Amino acid sequence: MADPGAGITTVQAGEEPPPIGGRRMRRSFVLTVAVLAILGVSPLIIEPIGFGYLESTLTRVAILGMAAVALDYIVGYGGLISLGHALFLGAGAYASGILLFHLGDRAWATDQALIAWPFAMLVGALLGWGFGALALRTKSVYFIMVTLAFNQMMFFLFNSLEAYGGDDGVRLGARNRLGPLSLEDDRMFFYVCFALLVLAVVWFNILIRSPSGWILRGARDNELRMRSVGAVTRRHQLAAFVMSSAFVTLAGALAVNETQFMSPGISHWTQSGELLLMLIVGGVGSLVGGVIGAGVLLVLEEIAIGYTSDWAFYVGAALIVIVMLARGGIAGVILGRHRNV
Amino acid sequence: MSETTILEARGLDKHFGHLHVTRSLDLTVQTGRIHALIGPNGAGKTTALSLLSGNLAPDAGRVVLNGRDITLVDLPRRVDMGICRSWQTSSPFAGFNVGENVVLSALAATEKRVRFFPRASADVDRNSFARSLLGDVGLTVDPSLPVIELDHGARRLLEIAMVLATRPSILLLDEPMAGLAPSDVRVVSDLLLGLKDDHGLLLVEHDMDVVFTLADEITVLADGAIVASGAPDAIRANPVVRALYLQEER
Ligand SMILES: Nc1ncnc2c1ncn2[C@@H]1O[C@H](COP(=O)(O)OP(=O)(O)OP(=O)(O)O)[C@@H](O)[C@H]1O
Ligand SMILES: [Mg+2]
Repeated sequence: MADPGAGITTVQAGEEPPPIGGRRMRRSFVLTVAVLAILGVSPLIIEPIGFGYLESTLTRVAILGMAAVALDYIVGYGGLISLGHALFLGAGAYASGILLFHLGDRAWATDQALIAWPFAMLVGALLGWGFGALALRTKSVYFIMVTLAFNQMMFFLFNSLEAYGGDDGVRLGARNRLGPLSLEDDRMFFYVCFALLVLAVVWFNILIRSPSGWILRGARDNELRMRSVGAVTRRHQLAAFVMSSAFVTLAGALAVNETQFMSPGISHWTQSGELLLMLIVGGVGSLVGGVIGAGVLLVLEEIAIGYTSDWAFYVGAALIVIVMLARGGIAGVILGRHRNV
Repeated sequence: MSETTILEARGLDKHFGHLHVTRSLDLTVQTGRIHALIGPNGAGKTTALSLLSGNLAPDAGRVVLNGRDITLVDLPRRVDMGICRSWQTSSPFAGFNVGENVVLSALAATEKRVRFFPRASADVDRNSFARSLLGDVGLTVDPSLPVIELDHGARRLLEIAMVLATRPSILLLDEPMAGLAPSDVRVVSDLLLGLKDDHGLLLVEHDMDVVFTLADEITVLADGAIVASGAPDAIRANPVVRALYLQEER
């Protein structure tokens, strides 16, 4: 059979390929490096300027920033708004936390981060696969509702784990151990979280430029059209959902190490909303916006708490102003039309 | 040498609520021939095309490709089988530039598995394929232009390039020339004539000059049913068709 493509085209050798991404990437690359650099040096400079109390907040910025970046992959690039991602924070917290909790009384328990964290990611990926496959049968508002329902389901599951304190949760005696690095040292723990955040940012930047990422983005723009040129969009959306879930679960594992406290609170659906809020403030569809949003939200909150008991009101007001003034979030304003692909 | 691919509609029926938009439609698309589907607004041309391409399921009847029943085969799988459609309203992917739109279409048709490596833009052959398609349809704009900056005519041309990017053997084109400048109509007409030998073409078109220049066979739809079908000369002479079109012009 003749090649159906033959006769359509004459490929001219040595011709320039169409410019793809190039110019638009540069500015978002600079922004990404700048934001990560600022976060990376922050612990070293907050002490002298009198903000030393923010050290643990910065760690949470790195952790929840990672979760927000992972969420942005499906929200900003897939157009799939999940209001259930806190369930993966909870899954990560409980998966690694339970391994840690039983240290000394169960053979399978471990405090090794190199086992517990990948294990948590695997659990998250499997949960993401199951929940994603079901949720992706629906679209738009229904997708939001279904993911929210899964979130509530898992929240009640964690609440019912009486062996781990039920709705009170339990304290964990120690943090995970990572080879020779002492995670008990807050500074060291921050840099481990920060390194994983950098890894996640790099990884999701690879994904949005990958063949699967292109189809994900094409389906966001016009799913029917994407299918009509041959893409099995659901498959790529599911892959994205699984990727996103795995990294949010890793963030959950880090979070339980940060607080050394394993409780269902972390998986409450309002936490899913907060991740989305971080994205909206920081800039949906830019990846680095998740880090910016986490930074602005958490730092603002922490500072406001110090000044007034009505902090929630002032933080809320500030967020409204940011969202009104900065359409497309902070990253959106900085990047303008030079979005991150 | 090319084998003949035949796509057939056999007794297709489709309702939208109480509206009966396709009435026992029989149609054949075949390599080496251009089949034009014409008819007044709302006759059901786009619907017929959607039933063949697989983004609508018929209430009754069958779609048959080379003797095989593909009525239940979904849209992406039909692209794998060589059937690709264009859309009456241009709707390129807004988040991609002109060149990327064509690359993405080519990529979608070939990337069946989930792959994260290498970068989508790193396939040199695919990129030059996309670029040459832009040349074939006569789209001379800078490929790095955002699609929102394209005018109507350029969007129509991009639309055709995106269909060709899937390397189809049967093309279902929904008014590809609507609103094109005369020079572009000529480019696209020549392109379609060039494709004819080893591609099947179903062309929904309003421009009668184009239809009678290009088509080997014409089917006239009105109210979802076939009014007449046959060679261009026979259609031109058909009194029912003449009445239909005179009526429309009034
Ligand atoms: N999804 C839909 N739901 C309900 N009615 C529809 C739908 N799509 C089309 N119709 C109706 O079906 C009829 C046929 O529509 P169709 O788009 O197939 O006509 P057409 O011949 O392509 O017309 P045009 O020349 O205007 O493109 C019209 O009356 C239209 O309003
Ligand atoms: Mg139509």
